[in-house]
Amino acid sequence: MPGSAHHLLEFVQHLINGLYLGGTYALIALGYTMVYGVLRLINFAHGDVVMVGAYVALFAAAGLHAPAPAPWYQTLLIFLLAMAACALLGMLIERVAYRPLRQAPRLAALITAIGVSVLLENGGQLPWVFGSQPRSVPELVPRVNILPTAWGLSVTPIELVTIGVTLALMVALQMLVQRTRIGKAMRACSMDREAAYLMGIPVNRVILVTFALGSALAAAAGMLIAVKTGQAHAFMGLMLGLKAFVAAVVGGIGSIPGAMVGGFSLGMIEEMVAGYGFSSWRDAIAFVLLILILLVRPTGIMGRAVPEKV
Amino acid sequence: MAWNRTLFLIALAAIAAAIVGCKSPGPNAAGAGNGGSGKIIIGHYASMSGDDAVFGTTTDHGAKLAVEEINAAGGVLGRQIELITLDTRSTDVGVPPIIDRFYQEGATAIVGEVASGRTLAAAPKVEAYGIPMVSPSSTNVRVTVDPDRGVRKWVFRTCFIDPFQGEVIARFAHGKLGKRRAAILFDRAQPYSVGLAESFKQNFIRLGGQVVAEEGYTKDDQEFGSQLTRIKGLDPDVLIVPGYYSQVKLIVTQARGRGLDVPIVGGDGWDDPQGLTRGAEQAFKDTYFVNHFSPLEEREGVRQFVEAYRQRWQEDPNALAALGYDAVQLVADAIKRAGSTDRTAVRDALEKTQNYAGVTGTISVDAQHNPRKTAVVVKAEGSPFPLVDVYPPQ
Repeated sequence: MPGSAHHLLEFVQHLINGLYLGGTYALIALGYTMVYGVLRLINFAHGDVVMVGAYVALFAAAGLHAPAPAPWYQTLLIFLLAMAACALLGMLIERVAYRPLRQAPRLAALITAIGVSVLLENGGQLPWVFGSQPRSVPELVPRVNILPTAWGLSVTPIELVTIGVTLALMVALQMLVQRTRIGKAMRACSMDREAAYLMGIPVNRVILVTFALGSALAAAAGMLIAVKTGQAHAFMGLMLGLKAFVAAVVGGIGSIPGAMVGGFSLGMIEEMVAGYGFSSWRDAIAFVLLILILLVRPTGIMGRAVPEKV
Repeated sequence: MAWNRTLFLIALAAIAAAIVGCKSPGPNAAGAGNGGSGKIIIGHYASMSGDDAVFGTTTDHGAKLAVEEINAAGGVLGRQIELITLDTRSTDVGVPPIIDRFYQEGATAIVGEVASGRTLAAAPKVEAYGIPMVSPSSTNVRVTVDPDRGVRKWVFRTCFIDPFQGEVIARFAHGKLGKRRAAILFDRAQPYSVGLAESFKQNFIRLGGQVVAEEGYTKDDQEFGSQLTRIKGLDPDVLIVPGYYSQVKLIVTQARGRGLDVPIVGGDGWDDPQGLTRGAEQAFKDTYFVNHFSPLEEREGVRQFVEAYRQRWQEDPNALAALGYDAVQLVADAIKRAGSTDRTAVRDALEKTQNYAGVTGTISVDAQHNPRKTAVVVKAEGSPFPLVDVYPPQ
């Protein structure tokens, strides 16, 4: 194979890898951005909800005796079960950990968020919860190359499904926020919670729905990632959560298209940095990017500056 | 409201009581090992949970078996041994507080860890406190030798070191497999992985091979597509992955998924006999790793140990379990030879260890506090892993 064609193939492969990586970040970033948009709260437990989603999918697959690869309806059922379970978990977290602190200084809620995160990570390791050792996740969606070997490129069904699901969920979410009653209520809460309350919007219920949606998206990401890597463990959400947080900030936290742009940008940048000889900079680059964006454009790529209320 | 608050206070008091109640009885004689009577305390710090939980749990199984056997035979110096195992949660920062705790409990000696990075986190503490420590399976050179200050007075180990392990990987890849173009994918944040990669590279080049790629990753990575894509582009004929088992599994699976079908070789960090290949048997075809011990070895004492271990834990021992067993036995032997639980006397006895017959081989402590031992190469396939080759120390 001539050298230039070879380099081109390698570049295309990096593009595919970056797209997949970015898709997972974007999906998780959506949850961060929604909660931030409505509550001005960084929900640091979000990454750990991703982990719980992966485990629920794992248990559901075991409970249904799903073969690998599973028929599409079974995969979809497992997918929905994981999302539903995490939606409940998200509401529970909001009710127990954040609502009592609604009137407290913002820092208090942030600390509680970290507390919930630590609880999920370490509680998850208890032998009667998920256990401390990584569990293998069945190959519900095939993770083998579907292209002919001769092409020298690798694209797997799970990668395509991940990218597709991410785009579909983002469009659905955008429609929900822009076109429906509950979406309008969410936007109202986001602009001014007290005024929304005075207008008769059930603020607490809107916030619960926000958490349910965000956590369901996290569960979707968790399941897809676990099926792709074939593994779930109690700390899998930690770095994913941090990276997705960076993606949300880079894109403009509070903005749904922003989470998407941030997620895909971060995934692509990481892939190119790691793929062209700087693999040890892979994690560093995400946080360098965070610092740069906060210095240069604190509202993120798609974010709008909102005047601070006095 | 008032009722709620009372209830809350009662609950709080109950929790506080429970926490205080859990605390173990106060510290005993912190000075020179625990006093003249009562139990002899050996502290074991281990990764019982977290990413490397297999390291801690299997080592602890081996250590517990040793303690039970010693106690059943009447203990040491007429006293029973008590093993206190504390969890590092697979983190470096979890280590120093545990060493403090062992000191306060009056531990005579300490056993641990598997991961070199965590043993290195303990080393300055045990040097300062003056407690003899035996690492069962940390292979990094710096564990027993501080690059600035020379040999660490209080730190010993029961395993071979990475310059030897890297040499064995190189000789196996070059000789037995006949490979010449190696790619290395290693964990840049683990001293173990960095040291082993370096030693492999030197030896492989010395043997006439070529290292075409050196790519890194870190502890939390789950996606290795970018590194593997680059490696594949450089067309190696063997991939070296000196990492820890949970990420090794992801790397091997993803490498095969990307059509990288060359043999993959690693080190003792792969040693998770139950989980390594489970669900990924196809991907682990043609993969090998260097290890300290195999339950299939036909050496004296191996079969006896394997049977006792199976009976106690209903599974085959891995090398880490065997080394955990040896580490505790070696400490007990040193206490016996010292004739006391005085920490300095036990340290001196450990240093004088010659031809101690462990289940993982003969242990003689050299000037750098390292034993010279035989390495085995096993194939990561089936259970127990089949023995492929044996490399005695040169």
